[in-house]
Amino acid sequence: MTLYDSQLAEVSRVRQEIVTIGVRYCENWYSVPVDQGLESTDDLFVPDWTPTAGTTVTASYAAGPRPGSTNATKLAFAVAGTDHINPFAGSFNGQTANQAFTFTVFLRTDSGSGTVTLRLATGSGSVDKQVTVTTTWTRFQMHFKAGGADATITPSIRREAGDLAAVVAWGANLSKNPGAVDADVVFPYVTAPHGKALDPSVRVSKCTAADAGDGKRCYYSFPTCQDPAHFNSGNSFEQTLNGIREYKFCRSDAPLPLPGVEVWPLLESMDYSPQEIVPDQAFTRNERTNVVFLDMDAPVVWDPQKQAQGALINTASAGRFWRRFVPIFKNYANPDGYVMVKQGFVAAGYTEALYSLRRKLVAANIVLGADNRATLTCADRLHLLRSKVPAKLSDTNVLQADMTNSQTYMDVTNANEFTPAALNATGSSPDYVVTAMIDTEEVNITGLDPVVANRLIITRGRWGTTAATHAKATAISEVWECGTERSTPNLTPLGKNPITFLIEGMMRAGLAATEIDSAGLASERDTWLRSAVDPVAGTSSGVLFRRTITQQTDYETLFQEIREITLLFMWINEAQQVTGKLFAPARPTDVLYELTDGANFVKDSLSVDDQDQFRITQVLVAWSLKVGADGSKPEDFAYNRTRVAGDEESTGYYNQHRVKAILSQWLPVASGPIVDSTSQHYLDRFKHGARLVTATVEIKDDVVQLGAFVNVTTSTIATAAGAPDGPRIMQVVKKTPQPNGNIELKMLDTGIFKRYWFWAPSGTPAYDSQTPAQRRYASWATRVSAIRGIVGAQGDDAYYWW
Amino acid sequence: MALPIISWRNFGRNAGAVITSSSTAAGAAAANVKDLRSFTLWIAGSTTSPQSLDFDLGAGGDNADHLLMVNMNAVALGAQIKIYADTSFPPTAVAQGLYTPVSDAVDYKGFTAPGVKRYWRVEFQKGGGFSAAPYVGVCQLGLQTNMSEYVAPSVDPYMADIDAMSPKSIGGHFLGALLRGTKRRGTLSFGGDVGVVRSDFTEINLWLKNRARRREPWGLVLDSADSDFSAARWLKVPDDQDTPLMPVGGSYGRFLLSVPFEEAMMEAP
Repeated sequence: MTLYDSQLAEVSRVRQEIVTIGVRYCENWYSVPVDQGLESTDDLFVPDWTPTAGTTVTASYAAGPRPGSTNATKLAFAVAGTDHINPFAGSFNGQTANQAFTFTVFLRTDSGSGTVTLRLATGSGSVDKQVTVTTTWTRFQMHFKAGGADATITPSIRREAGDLAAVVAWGANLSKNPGAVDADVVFPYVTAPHGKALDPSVRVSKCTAADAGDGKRCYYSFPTCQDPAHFNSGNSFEQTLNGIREYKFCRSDAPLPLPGVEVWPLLESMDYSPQEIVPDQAFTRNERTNVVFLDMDAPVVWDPQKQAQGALINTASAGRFWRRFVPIFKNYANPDGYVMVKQGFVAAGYTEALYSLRRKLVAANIVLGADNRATLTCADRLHLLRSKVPAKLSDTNVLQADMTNSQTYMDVTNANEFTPAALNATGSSPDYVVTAMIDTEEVNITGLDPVVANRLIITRGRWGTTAATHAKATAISEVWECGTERSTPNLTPLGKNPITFLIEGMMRAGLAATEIDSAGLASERDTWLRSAVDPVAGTSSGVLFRRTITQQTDYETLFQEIREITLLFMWINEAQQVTGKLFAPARPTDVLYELTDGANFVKDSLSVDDQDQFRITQVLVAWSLKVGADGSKPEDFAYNRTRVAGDEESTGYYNQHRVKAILSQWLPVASGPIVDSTSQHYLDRFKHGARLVTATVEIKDDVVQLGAFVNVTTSTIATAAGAPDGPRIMQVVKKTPQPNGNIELKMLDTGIFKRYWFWAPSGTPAYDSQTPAQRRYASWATRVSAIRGIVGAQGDDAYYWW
Repeated sequence: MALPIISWRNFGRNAGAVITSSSTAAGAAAANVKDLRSFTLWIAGSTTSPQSLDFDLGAGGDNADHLLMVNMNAVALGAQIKIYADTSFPPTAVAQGLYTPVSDAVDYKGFTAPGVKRYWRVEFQKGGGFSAAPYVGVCQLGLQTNMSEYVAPSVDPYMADIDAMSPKSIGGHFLGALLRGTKRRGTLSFGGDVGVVRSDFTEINLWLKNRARRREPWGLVLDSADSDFSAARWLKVPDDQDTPLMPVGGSYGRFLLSVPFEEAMMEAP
């Protein structure tokens, strides 16, 4: 149990929230170019690096810390006190007298931990630093100031007494400290290829702006940058120096949250319009949050961290905080930045890491109010799905040279217009495939040539097409292929599980792999939407979709079409990952949190909406688009099927026809089974309306998460005889924190009354001895009192297949 | 019993005063201790003992008879504090010998004023070093205002109020309580029915004019000789309240002084 959970369970506690705004920040030192003197810095390439005789170097041993890099080097040292590796560092020769240098390198072990020694040596002396290396990539640094007579500086990675015999290394830099500061002065890592030491392109600080003097310097933001070509966003894979500056705020009406941490109590209120799962529209309403801040005098020093390092800053203290923040960070809506909301309590032992991250949002707008307040409007990360796919290329973006039918690159007018090809974290396979079409051939783009501008690295004859020659000036377009390529790519592609390419699509839209609950989505897929594809044999089975997107469409629209046919709910969970559930019974492993009138629902807060307006009696599914049709009406499709709720349409019941039409361009011809199950599930779900319960709970019930299943028992939902009709399994579709600390839950009755079949774990006892939790797994029906289809001595309902 | 003390003079805010420190964590400058904001911190850049804040008040110098510190961790660290004042740097003459602070929220220490000095040092000490870097939100050195009257009997000496919300369920059961923290709000009255002696007027008016009416926080100690009421508070005049300056030179010998206040920081209950 975390400290947050234990505080939540306390009877009385003091709530506090921390809002962190991350904005793009420059990692340069203003007006100070800083040289880097090593080469072959990624892979410690021999002979640019020189190992001793007893040092064994294994090149391309493993992935480096930078996503996509596969060129980390293993160093095995035979003899302690002797063996080491050092780079050629002669580029600084003659420039070292009375200068200070900082050496950095990323290190890790294969297993366990131990020490490694780093050394910086000049002609007259040296200094060692022993660092402790673990299995996690860590960037280590050390510095040394040369004497007046020193003419060289040489770093090395060594095995000294007590050190490890082997270590994995990547990414070494040696930089000259500005102002000869005798301290570690660390900049973001730069890659310097062979022959590029001291090249301006590999400087660790690149700002060449002339110093405009105090008060006229930049504020290390892009809008105030005086050398935009060299703005330094750092490296996303470094924990610090990642090009982000954070500002932290907390509630003004509560004690400061963290002892010894500067958190400004300017947060006056937060107005949440949280995510809402809207199942009948296969849609999740985006979150918008308005955060109201008090304004006050700006800090004494705007860039104190830079000042502490020794970099040039503006020292004038003037103006109000938010009035200055807006012009300095006019780009606050850059999606690389963020607004994080963390919730916790004021209690002994709290650190920021123990606060519970509840929202990671994108800043959208700031309003400076007349009442000396600033209102920051934020949207959730699903907002990114409003971008369009495939990338639109200019008419003038054409082939720049004739192409043979075998060359593995193509020169284009502007490579930046294509969707960036992405490798996953291990660098072994792409997170998503980027495909371009030239004439009738499709090619997959695997990367950008590091040397030749606007040259794309490609593989030929993909997605069932054949490699061909193409003439200079041929037009190019990008397409999004949703499917599975055959092992022989010029054979007709197969379909793909819709959840799999939803995940790929999200990454293509800009969400990081860490922002997607891939495991949770895969579990839903493998439980309710199973499929199999054999790209070698060309066989497939189960639920598979196939489509080629050629016209620009936003991801959200495409995803909505997929969610509609699969009944998939998607949202951002409280771990700040996009996750989802298919409409299906709660699994026995789902913990059903009990919510009751007595223990949970705040007095006078519960209401029940029957939502009869969303009731349907027929489901029409049309699929397999006819050639030349636009897909806007059922007759545009080759197949359609209608399922009717006959009883509900009858004169004595509702006496109405309400049709739900699903027109799907995603389903291949052989989609009868999913059409049958989808239409049946829609009718099960909506033929009597989808009841919504809205109620407020105390903060102790904060453990109930958006999207979770809960067991609701309330006297407001009663049987015809007046007894409470429950517990009923409901899904939380909206969770709204209230200004007073309570939480409003909106819960959708799943309408699933029957018990469904789940295989019970080995060792589950016979039905009559089972706990209620065990009875959520299936047991065989037996004959009791000569009646079929009931279970156990009590004659409980039997189990059904979903 | 002792008379109330108002701490409001802060020579770190004098024009030209420069505050430095023995070491500084990145982004937590020594100058932060003079801005009256409890949440902007000086944090030492090291855990070795001693760590100090140094005040260079320029040629004119200044005098002090008390130190008020807000939002610090000296008590949590088990640290002690020593104050130096001198005419040369580094200051070596001891103005206040080593003492143990009593509160990390707001701590007051009175001492004999050494006279006008240019260099002052507040030093944190802990044998064997600190377990964490010392930090301070506000460090206020200057001459205090000693009231010559006790507060009126109507003043609640505890002054504490806790905002809370504790909903009940549909079934009528208590569900839990959310507290917002301790909130002190009230009105300070001095002198009771007989009022405040006229000799205090000049000092009171300086405090009202230069600090309280500007909505800047100030320290208050109700009774430094009473263990119940010796706790220092960090207060301000509420935005929706005001207090007039006292007339001076009139025919009245005594006046009733009434100053509304609220706490300038929120303390955990």
